[in-house]
Amino acid sequence: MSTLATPLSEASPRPATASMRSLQPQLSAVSAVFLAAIVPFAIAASLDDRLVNGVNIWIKPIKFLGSLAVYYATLAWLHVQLPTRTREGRLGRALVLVPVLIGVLEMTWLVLTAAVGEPSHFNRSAPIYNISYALAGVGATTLVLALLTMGISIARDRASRLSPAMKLSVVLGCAVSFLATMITAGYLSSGAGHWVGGVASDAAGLPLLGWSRSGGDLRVAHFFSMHALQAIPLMGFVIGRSGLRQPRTAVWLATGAYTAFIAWTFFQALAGRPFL
Amino acid sequence: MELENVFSMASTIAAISWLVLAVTPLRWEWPAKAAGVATLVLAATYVALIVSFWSRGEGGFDSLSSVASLFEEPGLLLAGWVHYLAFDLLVGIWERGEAARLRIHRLALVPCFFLTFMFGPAGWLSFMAVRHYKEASTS
Repeated sequence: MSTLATPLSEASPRPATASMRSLQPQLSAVSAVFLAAIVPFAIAASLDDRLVNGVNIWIKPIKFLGSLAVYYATLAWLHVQLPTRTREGRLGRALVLVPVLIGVLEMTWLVLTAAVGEPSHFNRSAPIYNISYALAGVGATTLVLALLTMGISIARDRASRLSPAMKLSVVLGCAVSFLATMITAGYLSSGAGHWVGGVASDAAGLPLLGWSRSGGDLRVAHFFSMHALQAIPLMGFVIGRSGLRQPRTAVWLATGAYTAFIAWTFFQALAGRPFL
Repeated sequence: MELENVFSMASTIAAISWLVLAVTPLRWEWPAKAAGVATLVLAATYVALIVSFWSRGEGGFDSLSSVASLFEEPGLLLAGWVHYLAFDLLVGIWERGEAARLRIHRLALVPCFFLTFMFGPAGWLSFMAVRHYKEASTS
């Protein structure tokens, strides 16, 4: 393998073209496409009067498109932080193709079930819905596994150009996002729905998010688990800029606090209390 | 939103795009780009209509009477109409680009535009004829 490496990549681990690029091009393109795809479904929401859980049937595909757009944008940034070898090798290509393919399949599932007027998650009314819901769970697991893979790869990179505090926050963001999502989403999907007590409808929930205001809602902890991926590196960035003397310790403390917050939202929902 | 309003909006977007394509100098590039954006909007509207109304329609594509019963659902009838508007406009953008490239006179292009706008394939056929004539006279 090393004989195939060009003299340039032997001499400097990060060629100029790669270091100048701040986002992986395909993943950023997919992020933009998912964001743009909100338009037709926003139009659909204004045309279609069908409801699921008391809210317009297209709200959920729109939320997932937005969430996945944020996911791909973050992935596009993470991908550039990978060690050059990994990034340009088979694993690097897989870390583009696999998440994109799965995201497209997940959205296809959400749009098709909405188009036929059926719920997507927790739908066990017919074998086709049961099977597709189970497969969607496998897909979603793969999406967060990609994060774990990236986190491990970045953690092991001695030549990383990230500051130590930033690097730590990125790695912890990936790890917490993976672990907490596996626990909260795993628990959520094993039940019959996202409500714990309260009114079983999203109609009176928080604006856009739809989280219950009358009882517990397991989607809250799921949301904050996934977005540990952005929240913890963002805190790492702020800590890095603040000029603290022990930035790595501060990142560990911030991560601990954020994880405790996720746990609090999770147990709050389990106790049947609304988030807000 | 009422389907009648969607119909009016889509038709207005298409008509304005056609007007801009027809009256602006053919060497300008922005009219084709603007009409391209209008086509994106029409296509997004089409997708919205299909995902909203497809499951409510009866019938299918397998026979003429199936297609007829499909179009008894107003949402799908409108989707079919927006499909015409979007694809006719796409053909119009292409015709304008070809006309600019081959220096086809506007007086020859505009009747083709009118036919494409009104009767899609008839307009495209007439433009193909004009283009063939122009290519024969320049080569």
